[in-house]
Amino acid sequence: VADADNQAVVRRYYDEVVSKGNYDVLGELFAEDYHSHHNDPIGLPTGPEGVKQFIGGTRAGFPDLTITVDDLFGEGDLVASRWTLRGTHTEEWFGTPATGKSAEWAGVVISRLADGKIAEEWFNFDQLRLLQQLGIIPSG
Amino acid sequence: MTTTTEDNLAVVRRWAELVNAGDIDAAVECLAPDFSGYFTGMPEAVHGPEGFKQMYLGFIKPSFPDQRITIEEELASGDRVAVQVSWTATQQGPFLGIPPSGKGIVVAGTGIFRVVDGKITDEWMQEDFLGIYQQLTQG
Repeated sequence: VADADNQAVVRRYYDEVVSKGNYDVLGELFAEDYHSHHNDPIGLPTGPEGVKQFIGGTRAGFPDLTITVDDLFGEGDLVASRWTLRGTHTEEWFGTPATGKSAEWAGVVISRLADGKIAEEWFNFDQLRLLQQLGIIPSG
Repeated sequence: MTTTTEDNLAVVRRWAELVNAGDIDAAVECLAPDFSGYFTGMPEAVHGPEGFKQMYLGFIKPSFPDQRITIEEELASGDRVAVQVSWTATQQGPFLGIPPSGKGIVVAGTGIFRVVDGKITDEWMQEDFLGIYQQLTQG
């Protein structure tokens, strides 16, 4: 599998799943044993189902969610990307009642691909800025 | 100057080593004069070697003087380098309203650097803020 193909898989995840909520393609994009190393207070399952719950929950809380892919590149079986998410918190979001506030937050991701699917991810996003913009924790 | 992805990786590794050693004057020599740094919780970029130095001396060193970055995954393509790091530190000063706890923490970070002519021009680094908060306030 060429580097460019791996990058296309990650881009398709952002375009189809994060941007449009098309969860039917998750099985094509994520390995059955996919796991993420991010600090997960939700207790998401591994595999495509965990991605569905995570993106589904975020899109439910921020129904106007948009993603801007700011960078995406790869080497070998790894793909790096960074993005900006923007949305308005008009619905409950993983147990947090709607605040009605708009937020934008950045994320940086390294994805490892195996046989053309995302098998592993390391990512961190700006939880601090997000929670500050929603007024859940104080700014400053 | 012709640089390779291996050269760019070496610049980022050297940067991490110098920051770990606390040699901030040598560390910021790895940064381009027009450096921009985008970090967790900061709505505005940090500009230039002096901007980074001020952030380090004002915000990081007083709270986490023994902080250490360990690169665990890395890749490079063109002028960019991406790293997965673990960050270990002991809280010796106030941080985010939390009084000095003496607690040791280990959290993850994911970052992308742009390196031009052997200098870092941009850094986008997101650290696990939730993990820092959890580890300083719980247990």
